[in-house]
Amino acid sequence: MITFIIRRLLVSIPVFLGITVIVFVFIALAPGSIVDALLRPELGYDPAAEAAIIKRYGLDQPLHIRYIRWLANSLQGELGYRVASGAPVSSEVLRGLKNSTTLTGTAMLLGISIGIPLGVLSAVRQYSKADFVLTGVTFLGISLPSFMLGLGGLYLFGLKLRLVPIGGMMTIGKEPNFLDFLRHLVLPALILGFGYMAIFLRYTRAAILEVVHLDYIMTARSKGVTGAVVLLRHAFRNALIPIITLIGLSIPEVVGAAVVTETVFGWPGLGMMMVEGIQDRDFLLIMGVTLVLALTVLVSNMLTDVAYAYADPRIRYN
Amino acid sequence: MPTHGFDTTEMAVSEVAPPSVVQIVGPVGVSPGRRALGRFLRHRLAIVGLITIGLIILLAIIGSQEAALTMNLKMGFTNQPPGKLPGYLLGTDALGRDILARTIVGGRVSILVALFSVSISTGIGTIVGVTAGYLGGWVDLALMRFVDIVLSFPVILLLLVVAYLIGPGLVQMILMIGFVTWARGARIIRGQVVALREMAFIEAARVIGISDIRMVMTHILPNIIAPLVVFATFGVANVIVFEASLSYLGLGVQPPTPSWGNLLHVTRVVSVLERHTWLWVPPATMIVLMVLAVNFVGDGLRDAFDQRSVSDD
Repeated sequence: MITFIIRRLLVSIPVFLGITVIVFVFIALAPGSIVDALLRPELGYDPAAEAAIIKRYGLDQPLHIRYIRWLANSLQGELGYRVASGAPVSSEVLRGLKNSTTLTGTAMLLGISIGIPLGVLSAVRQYSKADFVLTGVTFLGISLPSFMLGLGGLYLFGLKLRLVPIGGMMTIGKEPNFLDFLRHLVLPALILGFGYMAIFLRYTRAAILEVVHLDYIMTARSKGVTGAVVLLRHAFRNALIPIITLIGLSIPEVVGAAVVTETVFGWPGLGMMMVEGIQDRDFLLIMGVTLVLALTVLVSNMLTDVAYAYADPRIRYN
Repeated sequence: MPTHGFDTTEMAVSEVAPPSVVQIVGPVGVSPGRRALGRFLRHRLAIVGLITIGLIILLAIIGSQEAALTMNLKMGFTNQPPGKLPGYLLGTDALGRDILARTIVGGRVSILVALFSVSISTGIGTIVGVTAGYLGGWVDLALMRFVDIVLSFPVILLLLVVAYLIGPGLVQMILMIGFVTWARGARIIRGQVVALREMAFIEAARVIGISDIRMVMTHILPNIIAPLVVFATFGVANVIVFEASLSYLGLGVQPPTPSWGNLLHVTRVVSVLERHTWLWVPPATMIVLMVLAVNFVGDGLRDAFDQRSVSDD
């Protein structure tokens, strides 16, 4: 197992470098540079200021030198400064990552912990009333965009019924406390969680239905193993692979993929930061967010592979 | 499970298109295409969805661009709720423009974005998927590795990065959505082609020595139309949401051109969300209706073609 993990880790390094090269080249070549963002047009054109900015950001260097410098700095956690506030990008990105992970992570945990058991139930009671209702709920959860649910929820629960705050992570001017934070978290987390629940329910149901008709399940049953044990030890274990794949593919979404929900609820996560970065044409911030995204994708791919190997010993020995 | 129900001839699939064969629904002795059509027609929600889409498209076609863009800044004409001004059924916005007209024309823009970008993504997905599946070997390995990498990034974040690179705008958005969302299609098509390659009729065609191009055009492509149609249908629903999201964030269709997404941009001001509901409820309702309708049709098509492997998330 350890060799498996080490091998996977070594393979990830060149992939990561490749991604950084692509990201760097594309973003460096994008029209509109940081010069435009920093030079105030209303102050008139000042060649000395432009030259200073170009020198400061090393824009006069050839692309490969700029890349190596950027990479060397990045590896030391030196990602530059935000155009809008002057705050270091590294600490901003970490703050955004923490907030995004809190929101999307909570939603995902809710979705997984409710969706998987309901999926099993739905599959075991196929074509029952419960299955019918759950399939309908799943359809709604998958088709209704969380964006619309967010707007509607904010209007109804935040503005009309005044049950929850209308945005942000805490009440401004109040001493930060956990209860207040939970009140801000609950609506966006439930809305995102509903979508995740639907997806996990559908996948679990399909995965269980796929295996319950196989011969080895019938063998176990005919040998007198009880229903619950067959379900959990035999059926669920084999249904785990597609579920793990889905979890693995979902993990990178904690890095601010709920962009619109974050924006609707004013949740200061990476997604919202990315939108601000685009508006400011702040390429250092965008590079920072993209870097975190790429790292998360690689790490979650690796974790997924390790989880496969754990769930299915056949994979380990191949 | 990829090919049952529609793998006999390309004729069978082409018969799905004309809706004039409604009455011929029977269990035995009919072509797979007609059986699929019969299954689709029995899917009641799919029919409701189809009618809803038809009505929305009809509205979008007859909507007046002029009415949607004409401003009226006279006192008493701006920000009027429904019922206040005769001739403005759903009220007016901050510039005195007709909300009804803007919602309808906005729908036209959103639907056009969806159709064009889905065409692009389905096109790229088909080319990549068929190439990988048909050629196999290292080409398959390399292409699918790339597809895996693209798929492991959240689509909306990729769209944001691309939005930064090429800037906002209608054409830009069609292109970026098209070029970012093809990977899932490529994987689905590749799976279908790999399964097809092993079928006897493909082998027979190879034995008589037809060229690769001809093989793909006359034997492979007609047999993957069903999963393509299902993928493209769900794609339309997804793109409607992507368009809405990007335009809402101000990175998509730019005003004054209305789209369902950029009509929602005003809700970023909380007082508008709370008090000027007539500005955002119509486009939001249309988005929900359209997305649900397209998903119903997609579900119906998936059941009709027996394409459980083509997912919509």
